Amino acid sequence: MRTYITRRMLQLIPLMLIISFFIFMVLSLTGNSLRSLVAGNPRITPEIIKKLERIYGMDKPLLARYFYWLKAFVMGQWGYSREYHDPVIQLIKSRLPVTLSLMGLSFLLSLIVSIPVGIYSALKQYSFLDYVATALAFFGMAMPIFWFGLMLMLLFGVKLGWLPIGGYSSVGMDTANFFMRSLDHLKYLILPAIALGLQGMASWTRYTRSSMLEVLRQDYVRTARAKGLPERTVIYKHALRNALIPVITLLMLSIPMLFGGAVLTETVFSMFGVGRLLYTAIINSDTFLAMGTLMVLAILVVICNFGADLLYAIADPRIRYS
Amino acid sequence: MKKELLLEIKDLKTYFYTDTGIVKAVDGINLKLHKSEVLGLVGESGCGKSVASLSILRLVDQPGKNAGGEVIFKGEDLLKKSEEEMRKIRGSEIAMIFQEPMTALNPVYTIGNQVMEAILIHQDVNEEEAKKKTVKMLELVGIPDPEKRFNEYPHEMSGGMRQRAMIAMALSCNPDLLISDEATTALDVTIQAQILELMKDLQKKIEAAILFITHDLALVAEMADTVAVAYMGKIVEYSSVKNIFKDPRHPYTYGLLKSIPSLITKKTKQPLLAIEGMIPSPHNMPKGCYFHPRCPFATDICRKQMPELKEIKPGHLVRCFNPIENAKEVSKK
Amino acid sequence: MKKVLALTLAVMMVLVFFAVRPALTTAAGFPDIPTDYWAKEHIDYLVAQEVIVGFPDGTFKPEDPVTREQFAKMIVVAKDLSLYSPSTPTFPDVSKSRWSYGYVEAAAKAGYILGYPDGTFGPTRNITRQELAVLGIRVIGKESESLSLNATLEQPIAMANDEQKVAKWAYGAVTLAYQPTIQMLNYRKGRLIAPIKSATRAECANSVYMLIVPPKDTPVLTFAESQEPGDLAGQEFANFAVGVDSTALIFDGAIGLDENPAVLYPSMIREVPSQENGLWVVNEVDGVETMKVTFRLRKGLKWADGHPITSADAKFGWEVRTHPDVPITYNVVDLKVEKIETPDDYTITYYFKEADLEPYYVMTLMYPEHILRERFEQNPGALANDPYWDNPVGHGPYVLTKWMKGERLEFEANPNWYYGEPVSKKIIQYVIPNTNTIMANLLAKSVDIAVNTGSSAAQASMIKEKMGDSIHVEYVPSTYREQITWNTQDPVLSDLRVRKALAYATDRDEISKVVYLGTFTPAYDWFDNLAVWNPSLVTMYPYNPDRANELLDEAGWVLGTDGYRYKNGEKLVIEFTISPEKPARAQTAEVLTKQWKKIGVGITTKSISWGVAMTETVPMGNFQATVFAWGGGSPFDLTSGAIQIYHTSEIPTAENDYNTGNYSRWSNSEYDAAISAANSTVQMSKLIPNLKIAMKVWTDQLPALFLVTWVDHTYISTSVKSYKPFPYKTWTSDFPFVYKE
Repeated sequence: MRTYITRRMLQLIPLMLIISFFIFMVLSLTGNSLRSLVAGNPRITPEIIKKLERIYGMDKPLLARYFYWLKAFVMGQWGYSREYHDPVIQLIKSRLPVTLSLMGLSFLLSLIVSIPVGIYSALKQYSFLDYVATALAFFGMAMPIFWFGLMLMLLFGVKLGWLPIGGYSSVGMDTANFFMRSLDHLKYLILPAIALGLQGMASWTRYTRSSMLEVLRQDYVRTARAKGLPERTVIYKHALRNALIPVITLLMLSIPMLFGGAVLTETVFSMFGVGRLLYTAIINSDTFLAMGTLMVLAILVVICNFGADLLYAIADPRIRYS
Repeated sequence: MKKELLLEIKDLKTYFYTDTGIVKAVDGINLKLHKSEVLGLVGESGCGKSVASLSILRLVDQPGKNAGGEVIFKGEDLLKKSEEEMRKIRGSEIAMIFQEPMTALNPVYTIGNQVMEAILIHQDVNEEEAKKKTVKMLELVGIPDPEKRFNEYPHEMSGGMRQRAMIAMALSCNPDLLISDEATTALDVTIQAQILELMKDLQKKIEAAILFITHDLALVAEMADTVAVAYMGKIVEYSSVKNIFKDPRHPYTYGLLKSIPSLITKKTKQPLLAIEGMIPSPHNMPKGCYFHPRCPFATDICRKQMPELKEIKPGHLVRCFNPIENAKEVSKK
Repeated sequence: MKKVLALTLAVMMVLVFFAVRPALTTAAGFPDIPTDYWAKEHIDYLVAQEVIVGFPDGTFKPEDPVTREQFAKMIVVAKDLSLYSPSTPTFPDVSKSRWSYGYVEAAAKAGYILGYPDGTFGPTRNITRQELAVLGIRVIGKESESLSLNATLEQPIAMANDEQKVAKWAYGAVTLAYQPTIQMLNYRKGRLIAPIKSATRAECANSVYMLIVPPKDTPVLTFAESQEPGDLAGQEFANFAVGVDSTALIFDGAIGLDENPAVLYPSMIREVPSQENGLWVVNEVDGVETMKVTFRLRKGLKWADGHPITSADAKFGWEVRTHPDVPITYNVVDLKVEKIETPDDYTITYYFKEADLEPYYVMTLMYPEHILRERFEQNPGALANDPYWDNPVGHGPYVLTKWMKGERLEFEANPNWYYGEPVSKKIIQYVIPNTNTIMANLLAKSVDIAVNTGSSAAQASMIKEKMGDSIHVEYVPSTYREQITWNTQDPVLSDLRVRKALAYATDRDEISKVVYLGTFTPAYDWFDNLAVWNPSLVTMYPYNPDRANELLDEAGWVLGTDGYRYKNGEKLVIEFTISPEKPARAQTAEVLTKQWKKIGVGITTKSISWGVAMTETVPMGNFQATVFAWGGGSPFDLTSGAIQIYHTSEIPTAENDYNTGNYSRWSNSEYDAAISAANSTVQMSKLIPNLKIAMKVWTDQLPALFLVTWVDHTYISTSVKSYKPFPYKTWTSDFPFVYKE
């Protein structure tokens, strides 16, 4: 097991190199020059553009820029954002808690809803509640985040006035203690977490249901019953554990997608997290910021993949690596 | 010495109510099993013997439902018991082992855990004692190094070992009846022999009755005291093992016997007798006797009526209008 | 039961009748006060209180002067003082028998009026504007403060263009009268105090109103906006127009811009340098105009940290902005300066080696030398990245107290602001990037003001319908004009007849109606937002499909059987490169498709995102026609924009790395000569004639087809007062004056 982990972690390095190079190339395709500033203000002269490009190091050839960035990156200097003039690391670090808490809460909510509903649907297949759950699942999968988020805002924020409309914290909360601040954040996180988690709730329910149904058909479930075990033990000890194995991997692998959804959610709910940071970075050709954020995302994806493998190995004794 | 009657199955029917029609998987099974007796239930695949065995323990899945009959175990009709009462019986008084031990064992729990479970559920012992009992059980079924094996997972063991573990699991609570549903079919021949030996051994030790379900007549010859031959959900012949082999009366039984390649046939150079045709589709059961389309001795009445299971000589029941008189004189028509 | 019901109904009807009644007298509807009259609300209020009445003929005569005794009556009635008739008159010229005796005496008793130094009152003399200020200040009990100001001030602080015309004894009163917490005096056209002119009835009514209903102390004012600045360096290091609302709160300007007509006024300086007041001197040496412009800072200005603001800070700012390693985006004007003199702490003289119509750009932002010089000298290239810019030391009405990046900025009143104390003590600016979310906030009434929302015409009218009584939707004409840029080097479009035909075939009104619900006004050419513009000076192309057809026939495009025109086998189809970020553009293309079909011209669209379009496609000329908007200039930039966009030398080529703005790739030597001549002078006698030539040539040759002027939507809660959005308001902020009722 240990050698497996070390081997996988070493594999990460060339992987990250390839990813970073690829991302850098793609980003530079979106037009590496400040030329569009002229469209915003025609009085900007070519000399000014040249000066800015020189200062921001944008006048060097592509490969040179890549290696320049890479060298700085591995030494922990992720550069400065051209838009915010703050160090990229600081920007990401300060925005990360927002996105992580959003993704985390969303993940949790999806989990809390989808697993029990999926199990129930499988146990009471074709019952009324199963049909309702299925219908809601299809609804959830079809619903675009920004539209659903907006509907939530209109209902709970405008019509009912129970929850705030966008934002991440209330005025004056920054002096309160950690507990009070967290509660305050929760108020703001609920709606976006639901909007973001809707997809997960829907698809994980379906997946749990079908996985559960498949497991319930297995021989060892029959054996468990033949042993005279109480139904509860049959379902929750024997069936569920097996049913959850593929579901776990699915969940781990859908975390990077949550990040993508977070970009939209953060925009709609005006929360400033890494998702929106990435979006603005790309729109503004803010190279260092975009690279930094994308590398964070890449690391996240790689960790999730790795984590999925690991969890799978832990959960299923048939798959233990040497 | 007349042994105690342990299990009597009277006209058991289990039907499957599917969207395409009713499948009568078990359509009138009658059996009697005495204490310590080994009853072989023989038939081709799809003849309903597995469903019958599951019906005893009421483990038949939807859309299967009991459609009649009685299963009298120790004087009480199991079909009338509550689910809670059945649970108490399963694994402790009646145990079952299945055909494919790899899939019949839960891959994510250790062997020890799974064997111990049954003990913990049915016996009033603490974990430590249960573990000790488990290890003893594993030893009993011939698993070497049982303490180490306790912590192994099913996939880490060979087929034979797994089946031994299954047996250990089934016998851990000293059941009165062991149902073995094709327990050795998936094993290599040599391992098969070992397992059979083990089962015979244990059966004598524990004095359990065995309902030995198989499609392999040769195994039945080895294991069983009595034999019931099933065809399409019904028992067509029922007698002692000696009678079935020496004096088969039902054409199907005869066909089964004759289609076993054995040393004798080779020596005598008798041609293998293949039973013509195939098992009919459960949705399209023939009128009259189910076997008549394949029966070389079928007559008019066979095509119209279903024969009753009749005792043609003491201890020998046959369901046929034209039972074979003398097996030795049968020639292929 | 029926009887009770009938009785209740009757009572209710009577009550309603009575409730309606008083309103009838206030909805006086004076024929000479239109509904949008600047002081209507205040006049109505005072008329209802019977502080002021109309004339017997039903008019109000708002522009008539007010005599001093009339004003005395106004103030006495407004303050609800009892009339006073002492046995001996205070003033020799106000006898006991005068109608105004009781009023004048009451006012004198209250200490409001003191009379002239010679002891008289001058009852029939018209009250002047500065007298109005003095009296008003007395009424609110701030006379001692104003007297001490008289002693210390060199000129009143009023952000007006004629401060130096105010009498010394009124310095303090005028200064206080314009303060945010008082706001009792309006400005006259041209941002003037007009101190010695007679105050009008409307102006007196307004002042009296502000005296009895002063600006309410507002603890928190909130506004929402869709864009957030990257940092608060002002429009310097980054995106030009983003974050102006935030920076204007912490950085006051040296100069402000007022509207109708657009006029500059001094904010932190004593007066706007002009050729009239001699602070702006133009010299001509060998045909090249040079300028010498002097700015005089007011005395007593302080940075937010209490340090005095001096001329050294202005000079330092220029040093920073012209340094080659500092990524300043717009320092074109700064670079024209060859020398700066600071004879004393308050005077800065800039020597321009080239003429520029907007020299005050050099003063838009001063930098605190006492904080930044060291960092700057150590590492000028790193200055932009200094965390200082996340909360810079400013000199405006507010200081930034908190910045939750991406969420909101919180500002509190700057105690060191030279102008006094803002009425709204705390301002919270919410950053809400998604238009729909801003709309939701408006519906939920969680913000007082929303600007820069990116809302569509449909959304604006939805808010107007749904929330009309709590939110006022202000349609603010923007500086941006939507236009079709032709690639004049394209073989089809290089033919002027084709360009003219397409102009005649375009119905701007329909575009405005269909795409923008009629809220956008038509635009005709590059110059139509300038004061000098006049339709008679240029070639206009009113909607005339017949003329369009004529021209196309002339140009050899023959109408085919399928309704489209052909020439040499080629179909006349124009490809539009459109950016999807503004869905209105695709809609515009749809409308144009229908309109141009009538003259046999087809349209295809190609969608390319703005970033790519403006970096590659358009500058490199890989397009036939594109739709986008120029704007953002000041109303005083008569020429430099026109050069950067249409001069031959500004055609993007490989030589200039495609970093120039003449996307039309248009070249016309007559235009070049005229606009260059106009751009190199600040003498109107030379500039205007050349500008007119340029305008004529441009509209004759039509390198672009202007469509409509953008209208921005600003949403203001009806409880908010003193906020009037204005497209050019980028340097000074209205917010210190804004309050909530």
